[in-house]
Amino acid sequence: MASSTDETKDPIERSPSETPDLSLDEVREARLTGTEGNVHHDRRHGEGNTASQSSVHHNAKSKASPLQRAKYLVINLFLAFHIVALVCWCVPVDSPLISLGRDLVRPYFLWSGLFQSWDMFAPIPKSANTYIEAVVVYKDGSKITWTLPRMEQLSLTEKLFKERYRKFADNLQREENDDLLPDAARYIARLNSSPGRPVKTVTLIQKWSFIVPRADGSYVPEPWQQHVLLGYGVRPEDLQ
Amino acid sequence: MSLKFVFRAWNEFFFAERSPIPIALFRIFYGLLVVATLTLLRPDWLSWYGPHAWVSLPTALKLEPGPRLNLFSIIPQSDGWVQALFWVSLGSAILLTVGLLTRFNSVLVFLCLTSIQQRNLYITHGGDTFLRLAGFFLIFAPAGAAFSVDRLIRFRHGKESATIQPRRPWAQRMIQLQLSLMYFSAFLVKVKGAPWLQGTAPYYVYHLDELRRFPLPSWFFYPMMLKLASWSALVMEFSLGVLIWLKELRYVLLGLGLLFHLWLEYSLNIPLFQWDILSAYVLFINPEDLKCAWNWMAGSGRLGVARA
Repeated sequence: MASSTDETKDPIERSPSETPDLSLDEVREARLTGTEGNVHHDRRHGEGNTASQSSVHHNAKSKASPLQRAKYLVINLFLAFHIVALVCWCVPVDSPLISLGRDLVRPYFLWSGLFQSWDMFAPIPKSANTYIEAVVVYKDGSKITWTLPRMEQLSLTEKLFKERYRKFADNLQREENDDLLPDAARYIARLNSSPGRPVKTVTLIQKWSFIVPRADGSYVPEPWQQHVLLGYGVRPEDLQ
Repeated sequence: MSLKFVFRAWNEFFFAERSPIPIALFRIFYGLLVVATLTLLRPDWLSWYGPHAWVSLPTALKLEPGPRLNLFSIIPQSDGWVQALFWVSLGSAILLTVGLLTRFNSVLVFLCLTSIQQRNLYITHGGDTFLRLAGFFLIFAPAGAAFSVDRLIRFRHGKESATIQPRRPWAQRMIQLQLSLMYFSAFLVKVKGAPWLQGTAPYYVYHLDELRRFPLPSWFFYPMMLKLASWSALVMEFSLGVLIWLKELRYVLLGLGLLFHLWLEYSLNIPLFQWDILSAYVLFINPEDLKCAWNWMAGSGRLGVARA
């Protein structure tokens, strides 16, 4: 792991004005007319004298150490790989080549945390208001209804802190996340249980009300409907 | 177009030296946003990430299998260790913001942030994702080369001059590319959906009770306005993804992008999302213009003080 002072010692990052010798990449970019690299070059070697430049380039090229060349190569490979990989991952096109690229980079992206998805409200936005309710039944036969924090019932400040519950509730309702439901039921059981009043069952219920567009743009809330997501029998070890 | 031209353009884009001021400013914004994210999560650190969290570690690993950078899977599963990881993350983010041991802290912040997200991917939004991605490339950037305690220390020890030296911007370029790819990808996904093309999508979005923040005027829901909002979103995302690279359009688009995100910040309750994205806009600003803006603000400040 590099320390902050290493930052200044890295010849790839270092400014030419700080370095006694030109690195390979300096050499390459100093040839680009009008680049900032050229400005540095000119400052040290005269006013854009072409003969002088090529002489310097030649000398500098020979002075670039193998380590600097290797670093330059590694950075370029790093950049090229990540650009291609990011494009394959992000572009939602189902061509065989892009799919192959996506499959190839998947293990690395999942490991490194470079995976991403930019499907905010797309391709089709959510078309119903939803929330999750839990019916908690105690061993003594009594029951309560517990609701995951609903953003529309919170103050502005509370919303800032509790917004994650909105995202979590959304994810709980997705079929592909069914494995989350028992964990959620157990958490609700622990939250509502006490040694003298243990919870016996938790039933997770999804409530929804469709959003139906009207011609004049007005909105009338539709009736709420419900669907049982999970009925969970709480075991004593769940409450520990 | 010759291969030589491509190589030259590549080298100029990634390796022609530039002032590190934009990346240093981004480091400060980034650090502050990580601090804000962790602070907003503070009351629920254990609820979301503890040993008895909403999603247990075995369930998280089962649903997201395979090797992952996730410190939670190697630390002991106890409240104390989980809290310690968060305090370390917070401390490291503060140090990154002020630019002390910048490189080390950029690595540590990325590791912690990625671990936190990998531990519970079911509560993360796009802003968190962007912070994670930008954090990865920030590791390689000369983020402590300006506005940092590191630089102050180097200056005091005579290792650095008073003038901020230009650096190779390749890591900064990757964050810029990531941002534009994000917009372009969002655009491509949206155009696949009929509601966005027909102009009805905002109707649904703005009638989601859970997302509503501040009240919107009734005229916004007129069908024509909704169409305009829908198509504007498409145009903005395409432009910020593709046209942002055209120098002549850049500042206009950054300005429009700022308004676009401020509108979303006002209307939708997705805390920090807009700021996470906007933080990277600074990377598109010419360092010379940043200096001018700074001088102008400093001048205005002095004027203000004098007037007072």
